[in-house]
Amino acid sequence: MLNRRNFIKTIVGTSVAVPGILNANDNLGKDIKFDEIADVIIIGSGVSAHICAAYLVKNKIDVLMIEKMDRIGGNSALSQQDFAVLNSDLQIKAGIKDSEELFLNDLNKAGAGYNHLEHSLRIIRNSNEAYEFAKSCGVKYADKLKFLGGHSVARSVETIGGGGACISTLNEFFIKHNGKIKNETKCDEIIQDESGKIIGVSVRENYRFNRNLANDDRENLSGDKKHYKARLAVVFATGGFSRDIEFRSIVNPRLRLAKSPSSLGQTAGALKQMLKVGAIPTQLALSRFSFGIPTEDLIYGIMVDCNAKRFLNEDGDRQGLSNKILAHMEKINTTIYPIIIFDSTGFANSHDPNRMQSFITAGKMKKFDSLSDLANNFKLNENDLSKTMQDYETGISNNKDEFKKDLSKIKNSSMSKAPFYAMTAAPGLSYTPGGVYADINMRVLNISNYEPIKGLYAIGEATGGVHGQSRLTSCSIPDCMTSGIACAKDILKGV
Amino acid sequence: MQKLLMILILSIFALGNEFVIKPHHIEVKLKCTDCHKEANEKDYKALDSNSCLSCHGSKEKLAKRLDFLKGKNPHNSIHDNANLNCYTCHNEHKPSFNMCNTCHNTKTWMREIK
Repeated sequence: MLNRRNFIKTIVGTSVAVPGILNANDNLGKDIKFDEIADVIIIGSGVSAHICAAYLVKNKIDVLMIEKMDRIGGNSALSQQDFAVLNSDLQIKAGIKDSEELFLNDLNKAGAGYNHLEHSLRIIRNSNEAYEFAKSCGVKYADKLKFLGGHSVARSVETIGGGGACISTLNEFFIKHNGKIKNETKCDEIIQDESGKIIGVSVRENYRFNRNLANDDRENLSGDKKHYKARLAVVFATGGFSRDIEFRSIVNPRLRLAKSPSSLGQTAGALKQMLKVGAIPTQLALSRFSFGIPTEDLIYGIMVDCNAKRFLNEDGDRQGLSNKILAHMEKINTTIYPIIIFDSTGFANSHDPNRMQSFITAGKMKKFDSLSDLANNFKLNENDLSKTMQDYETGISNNKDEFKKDLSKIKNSSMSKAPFYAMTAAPGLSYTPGGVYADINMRVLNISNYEPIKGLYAIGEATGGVHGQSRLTSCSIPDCMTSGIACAKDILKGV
Repeated sequence: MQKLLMILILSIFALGNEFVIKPHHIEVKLKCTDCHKEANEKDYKALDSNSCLSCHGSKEKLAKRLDFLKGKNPHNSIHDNANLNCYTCHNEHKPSFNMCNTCHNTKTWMREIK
């Protein structure tokens, strides 16, 4: 009779003979037959992965890149890829005075001082080298600088064709220099030797991501198991976890109800694999929200919840407003996002009327001739909505707003002149600043001794602590690119 | 025994129903075996894009047919060019999925995909 205890013993006994099948944690690479061998295996195919890969293949390193999704490029292929660069050719040409101190000050202000200084400096000091390297690979940038919010000078270059063009250009460069890429290949586990050095990964080829599963990492059983060996290093360029509702709700319950505008594959699976071999998780509770509409315009309208009631001062930045919206939704126990409403005076006050018009063309914002049309469209109680709007107008005439909005800033906007304009105000979690902690050579450190885990690197959004509380706009690309190059250089040191 | 047989027949019937074929493929009288080449029905696997392209031509040809959508051609987009697999959006045995729609409101420029 095989009772439970004996049964467990039997399994443990046989696991020596059949490694990796019965005991999933047996990842010591002794008896593994490897199906592929490369100098460097890069997990992920976004901009960090591609820049690192491009730098390595240019230096004659044999690189295999794997991507679990069908799409190459992950979130990078969706991004606009504005790129903050210190002392770029464009800054010099325009005679703009910029400095390390100015840039650092801007980064720290956005990051509220949570950023690791050495990583801020890594980004700043190497941004121009990364920009020049990307250009040398064929990535094209517009001939004008952007002066973006939170930056004290104009320093952001604009990627022509956005992330899609950047990724396809870098991919072409990579393939031309004998790089290999396999999509629909998912990394399941990191393989270590007896000394703890990372020597490869176990993967599944022909993997088909299933967006309908609550947790694809755990529930998806598709694909054929293989083992890949890395002679020099394994690089995790695996992005963030903004689509992993289960995981992000654990690290910060406030993130549960946020919308997920990121690439479908942004789950926490890769992060968990790194944690399993001893990586240090850093700042996982932080968030970065995108908002469907420029938040500086919200002050000209009102935001109402599903009960047609106002609940906040509409004047704020996207991070603050998003937090307040999500907190309010938890409080009134709803999954319905609030609605932002402008009347024709408020709509006309927008700082960028063309952009507002484009929202209407795109169907994101709707125009209503009457209040009842608006109420019907968003399933709001018309009487309640009408009362909310009257209360707001009364506040304006008494110069005293219920939510302490500074009415001197609303440029005579009202809430009674048709047509009305309205759209859903959904905080979208598009970027997760947390991740594993790496040194400035992007070596992943071990939580037991703070020494690098031999053979393991992490770059781009997969790392944490780089941007602090809130990432400054156009600073993801310099982070991704400088970390990719720093990682490649460190690998080359060992050749 | 008769009851068991009945259940068996019913469940086979249900299994057959699970794999409905899209109307435009019924129109050209496609059978299961036209796409699934395995000898035994039990061994049928999900198809890759090459199976679709054996009738539909190349991804480039399909992209060209939607050229009139200009910058918004789902078969040749600014994010992916013509690199996606057919099944990322199109399903034969269940409703298809418009991936563009996860970020964009496609109603103003694209028909619903079946």
